[in-house]
Amino acid sequence: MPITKQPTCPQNGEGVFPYLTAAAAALILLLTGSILLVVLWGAWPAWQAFGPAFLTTSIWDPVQNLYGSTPAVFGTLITSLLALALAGPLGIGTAIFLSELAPPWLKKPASFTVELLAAVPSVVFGLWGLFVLAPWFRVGPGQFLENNLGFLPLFQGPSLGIGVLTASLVLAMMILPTITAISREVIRAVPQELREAMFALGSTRWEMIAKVVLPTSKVGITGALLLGLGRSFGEAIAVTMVIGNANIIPSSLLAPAQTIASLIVNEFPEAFDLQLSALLLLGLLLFIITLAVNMMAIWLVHRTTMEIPNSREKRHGKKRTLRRFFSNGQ
Amino acid sequence: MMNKKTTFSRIFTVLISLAILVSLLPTAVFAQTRRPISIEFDGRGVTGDVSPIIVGGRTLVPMRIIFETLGADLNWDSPTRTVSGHKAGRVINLVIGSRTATIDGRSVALEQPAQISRGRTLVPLRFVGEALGARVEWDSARAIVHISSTDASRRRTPVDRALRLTTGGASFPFPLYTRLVTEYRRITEPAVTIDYASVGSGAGIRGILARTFDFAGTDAPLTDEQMAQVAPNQLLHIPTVMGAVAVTYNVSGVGNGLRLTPDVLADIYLGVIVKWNDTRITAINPGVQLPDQRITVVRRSDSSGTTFIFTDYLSEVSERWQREVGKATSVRWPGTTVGAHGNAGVAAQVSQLPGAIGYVELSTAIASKLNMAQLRNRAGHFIAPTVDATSTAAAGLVQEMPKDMRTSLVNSPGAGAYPIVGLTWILVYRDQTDLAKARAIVDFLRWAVVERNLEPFAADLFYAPLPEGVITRVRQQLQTINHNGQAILR
Amino acid sequence: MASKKLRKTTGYLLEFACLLAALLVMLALCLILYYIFRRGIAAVNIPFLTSLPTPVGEPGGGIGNALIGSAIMVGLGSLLAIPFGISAAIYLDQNPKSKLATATRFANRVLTGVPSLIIGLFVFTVLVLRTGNYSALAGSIALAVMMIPIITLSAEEMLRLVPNSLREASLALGASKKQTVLMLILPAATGGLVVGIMLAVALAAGQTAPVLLTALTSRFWLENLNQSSASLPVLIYTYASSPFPDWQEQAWGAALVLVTTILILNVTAQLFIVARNRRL
Repeated sequence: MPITKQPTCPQNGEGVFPYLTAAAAALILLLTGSILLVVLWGAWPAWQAFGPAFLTTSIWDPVQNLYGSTPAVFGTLITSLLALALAGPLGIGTAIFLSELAPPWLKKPASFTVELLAAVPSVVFGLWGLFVLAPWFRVGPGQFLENNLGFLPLFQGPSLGIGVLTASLVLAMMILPTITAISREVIRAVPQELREAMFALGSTRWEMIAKVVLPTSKVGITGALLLGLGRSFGEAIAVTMVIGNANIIPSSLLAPAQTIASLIVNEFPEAFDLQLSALLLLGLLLFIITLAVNMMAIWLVHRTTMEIPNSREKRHGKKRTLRRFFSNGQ
Repeated sequence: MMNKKTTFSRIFTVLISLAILVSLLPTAVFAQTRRPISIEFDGRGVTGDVSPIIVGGRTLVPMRIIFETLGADLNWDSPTRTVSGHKAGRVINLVIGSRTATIDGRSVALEQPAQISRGRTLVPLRFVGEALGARVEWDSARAIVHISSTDASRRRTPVDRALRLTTGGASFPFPLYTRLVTEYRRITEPAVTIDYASVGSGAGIRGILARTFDFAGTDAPLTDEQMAQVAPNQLLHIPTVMGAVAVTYNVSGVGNGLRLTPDVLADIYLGVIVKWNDTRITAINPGVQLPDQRITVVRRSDSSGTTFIFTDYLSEVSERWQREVGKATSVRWPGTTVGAHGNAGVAAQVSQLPGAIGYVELSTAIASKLNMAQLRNRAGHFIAPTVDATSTAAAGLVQEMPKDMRTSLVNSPGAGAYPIVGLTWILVYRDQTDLAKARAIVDFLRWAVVERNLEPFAADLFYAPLPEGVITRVRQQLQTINHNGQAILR
Repeated sequence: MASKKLRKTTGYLLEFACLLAALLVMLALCLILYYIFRRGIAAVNIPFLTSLPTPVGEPGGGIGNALIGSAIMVGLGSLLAIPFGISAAIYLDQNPKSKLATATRFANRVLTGVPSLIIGLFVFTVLVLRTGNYSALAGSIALAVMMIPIITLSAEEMLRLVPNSLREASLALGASKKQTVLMLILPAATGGLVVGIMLAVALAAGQTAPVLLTALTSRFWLENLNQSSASLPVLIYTYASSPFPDWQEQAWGAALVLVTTILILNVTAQLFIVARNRRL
């Protein structure tokens, strides 16, 4: 039961506090709304010029002033989802290791290293990708995939070093800190009593993790994954440096492609009039994609949380939790 | 006898009249019969339409040359026949024919007065030079006057209060502009600080149109549609330097100087020629062992002036390119290409990918030690990209330059001209709204371009200086810049 | 018993997988940190940290103005974003089901996926175009807009983890909701909040596009907040893409300085939490 519905306690001393917090929340809404408006306003001429064809055509030609979005949308989805598929399990695995399995002396320094990565500017990730990862990938994994799985269209060569897969790898590295750090905090916050209860029931450590820790922190971990995905959607410079920037739907994971954010950052510096508007329309599209992915994720979480009671409700019933916080909070 | 006598008297008469003539002749004739005097300013030759002359052991020079070389404002008051020069708060007055000059109102005696000869006003060189803070030395053996700048002579005072200008645009001239603005800030008192942000030509144009920039840099001239967004002739294109775009490659076993013709280059970028040992490449490169290697076409992914110059060239030389792709800061590249970010990104891809070809600015190609192709120019010669070949390209096109200076330098006709060459401009409003800013902008451009102070910096960075004819045009452009109808540059 | 053994083996295998994941992540992260260190260390010394940039070819030259510019913009941005984000998170936590909360949560999630360049463009349109000049202040606001969704989202997750029992106990003891939030819930969630804030600060400190569009850049000292300002990521971006070896070296030096500064900030924040917990 949400705490707000408890009228039993005195409401003295509240003052403007609830209004302030509500105002902050409303301001976020306002902020997002006005960003959306500014983008909409800028994107309008392009929408007028191309209409729905913008969403279904693949030509991007600044000379003829013809713009279509499918390669960029496809590239964004494929690279970000691949990055999430790579970084998600790794990040959550690392978070479990750091919060549940690692010896105490290792936890802090390892967590620091992970979070530090969030501060590395995109351009540095991009340069690293360009000068270290791409050359290695070209002759190593890329060549391997081309030689051994090249019969699949998915891994058709030539292996250039740059392309969809390299971009996904760089993106994965960039969103790892976000996913790992938030997941770790969420997992760490699972009350000790719940773990002890599982051990008391004869569970192994892994069963405790699988049956208590992960379900309890599911909402939070989803939040972490979404934050990571959001960052990879919006990431531009690093992707631009390693994706090969071809405005075509890639036929292979080794081929060059383009994302919405990289197209925007590539062409924004020189864009004018209709081209600028088309770039903003792309930005608007990214808004909608992010929104759709988030709605889907939230729907998924809600659907699965129906079966397992919400973490807060679950803890709600435990008297031991109460005792712990009074003894521990000291 | 009679004959002899008459001969004698004739000779005598001639001699007498000669003596009289000589004594009556202005000294100028003597000066001109001797070796012509040349002037060097900080080691660089200074030329004018009238040569300096020596009168009574003093060198007189056309006033415009000396005042402009030293960066002083010049005024000519015809009723009083007074020449006055202003620089860094100092005022010098000379009256034609008068042996007294004034420096900041203080009288100074002159050994030779200023004079007018053949319609040009000539002023004593040493006096003016030293009054403006420079050092003047006379090399009699070679008949050269050396003027060297000193801290005092370099100092300029375009404005009364320290001022900061926010500018930005093209990234191509950014390294040069950082050097220029640093130097300019050093010599201005009070300091004029110019911040130039390397944000791209388009952002520069947007910035000047929105007036968030005081001036903007661009590698691509404004299109007619863009020009239509401001009043006619309102935005001036001031060219500053030129640069070459090098075609670089990474082909195993092939060193520097591979020969390419315009049609071969266009067909490589069109995806028609896909192998390095294509007969069309081997035919123009006898003796070069070209491997059976796939060509990987690398190009800029970010829209840029470099791409504009390169596609401008391809459109010029290939009808198919012009029809199917066209010229712009970013285009729809045919076939499969690798898009790399920035000049540095293209250079990195070319050096990493075997079989790659890519275009970059000359300075990047040199710094990255990439192999550069020789291109066949309009005159039929294969020319490697160099600063000299860039200058030659511009020299061939000065005559055709339109009034507003929006022009292209690619595919120049000169024999030694490198064909892929572009100009970079500074965009500035003709009618300025802020007097102090206007003064600073005009003085900076005059110092950098008209007085050629950018040239030593440009040479270091592989930019080519503008030809003389263009600089004259720049001066004329700067003279139109005004505040409330009042010209800034007199 | 066999099933117990199987369960144990499965458990160990999965735990081993987690260890592998952690090792892989650490390896990848250390690789990139090592790369930054190796390329950057040669450039870093005291004059590098305190002097103005020099043009190409002039020796010396540093990142002093970019360091100060970044510090001011990230600092000011944090000052705006942290109270803002946490307040919003408190609202979301206190009124999880209200219409405003649902809408805000959505808006906030959408905001996390907006490319930073678009955020820069937004602040440019509403602020820079209005006032006609680029400023450090506009840069701070753009960074704050970048940070707000991250802080709000992570803070909401962290607040959600504070057990209800704690809230109930506090309310039962007669504390007001405000007191409960400020005195109990926030302190209980501090560790998690700091992690979220540090992520946001780190991310903001490394942003190029929004800063370039709003604060532009400068090669001189920042004299007031209404001036265009240098920043580390813009400097790194400009220098790294230049062809000049001395600028490229300085770009890596600047990246090293940026990462080290964030490390120091992070360690300080963690030490602060540890010290505070001990005091309690």
